[in-house]
Amino acid sequence: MKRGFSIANGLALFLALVSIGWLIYDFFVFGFLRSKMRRMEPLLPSDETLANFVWLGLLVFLLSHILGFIAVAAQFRYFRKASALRVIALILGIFSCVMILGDFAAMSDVGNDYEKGRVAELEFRALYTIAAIRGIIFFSIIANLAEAFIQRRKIRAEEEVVKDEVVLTLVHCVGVFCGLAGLFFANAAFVIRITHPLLYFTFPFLFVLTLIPYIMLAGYWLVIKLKERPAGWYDEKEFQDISRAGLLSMFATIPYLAMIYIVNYNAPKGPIEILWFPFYLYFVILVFSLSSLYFSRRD
Amino acid sequence: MRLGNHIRRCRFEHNEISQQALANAVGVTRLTIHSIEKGKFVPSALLAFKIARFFGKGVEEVFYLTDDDDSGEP
Repeated sequence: MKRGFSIANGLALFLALVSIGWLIYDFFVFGFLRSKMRRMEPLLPSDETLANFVWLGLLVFLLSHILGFIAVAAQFRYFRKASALRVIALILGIFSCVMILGDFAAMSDVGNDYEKGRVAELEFRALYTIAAIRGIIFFSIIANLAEAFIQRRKIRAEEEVVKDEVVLTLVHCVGVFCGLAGLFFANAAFVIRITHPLLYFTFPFLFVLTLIPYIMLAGYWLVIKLKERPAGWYDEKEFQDISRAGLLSMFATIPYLAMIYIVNYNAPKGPIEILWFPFYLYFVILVFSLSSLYFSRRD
Repeated sequence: MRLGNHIRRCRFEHNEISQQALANAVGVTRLTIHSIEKGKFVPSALLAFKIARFFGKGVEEVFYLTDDDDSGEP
């Protein structure tokens, strides 16, 4: 039991460290290729080999994330605790995994633009930004994996669990994080007043990206629960906590929506015309998740 | 009035079984058993009967009523 956990955790840790090394390599290759493209110099076969290793890096990142998810799932299973570091590593890991698609799109655009004789400056900037964010995320993942590796001695004999509360607690923890992140982006869009055309594309993408971890975990919880009768999805205390949280969310939403209505009434053509939904959605997710966690821990 | 209980004592008399084992036996989460033990959650009559039956006792041997200002076990 412990051996399987150690192997999964150790492999994930190793690949996360390899990924950090690969990110540093990417930084150098991006800089090298960008300067060559700016000078409109033809790319040599050796340059293309360097670029191919960047593409290979995406596969390494993907594999590293998959192993990371397996390791974190094993951590929840054996430690049976949703520590802050573990939850943060999981959420950021999901973000980072989704961002591989962004890498893929930006790198394809760089190649296409080069063939047309242009330098894709915006895409290069996106690649640098994603690489920097991914670096920070990998450090948080490494910290979590290292902590679990050190604490593996604390794992006791695995006890059978008929009704599990860890996944539901995790869904609420992720809900709090996603709610806060979504509200942050909605506020940012409101302050910037989304006048720049790019923001029309960036912010919806950020809103969807913010929701992905919550949807994935809530979906996972639902898949587990589909094996049971709906009446048995919660035990009686969980049902009480969820009911209280639902009631609180409903009462909290009324003045909140009234506030949004007033803002919309005074500036009907303002950004709130578009942003009312993200404001509402993330507020509800935040209040429901936070109050569910509070009620389940308080009693 | 509040509902007190001897679940912790019963668990130790019952081969020192864990909260998780009791939770598995009565079909709830470990957190629920923990909350009942602490007196912070009042179980339904059905759950109280299930817990008592698991220990081979009557409900009144496991659960008892106490006044708010009376914190000790009877």
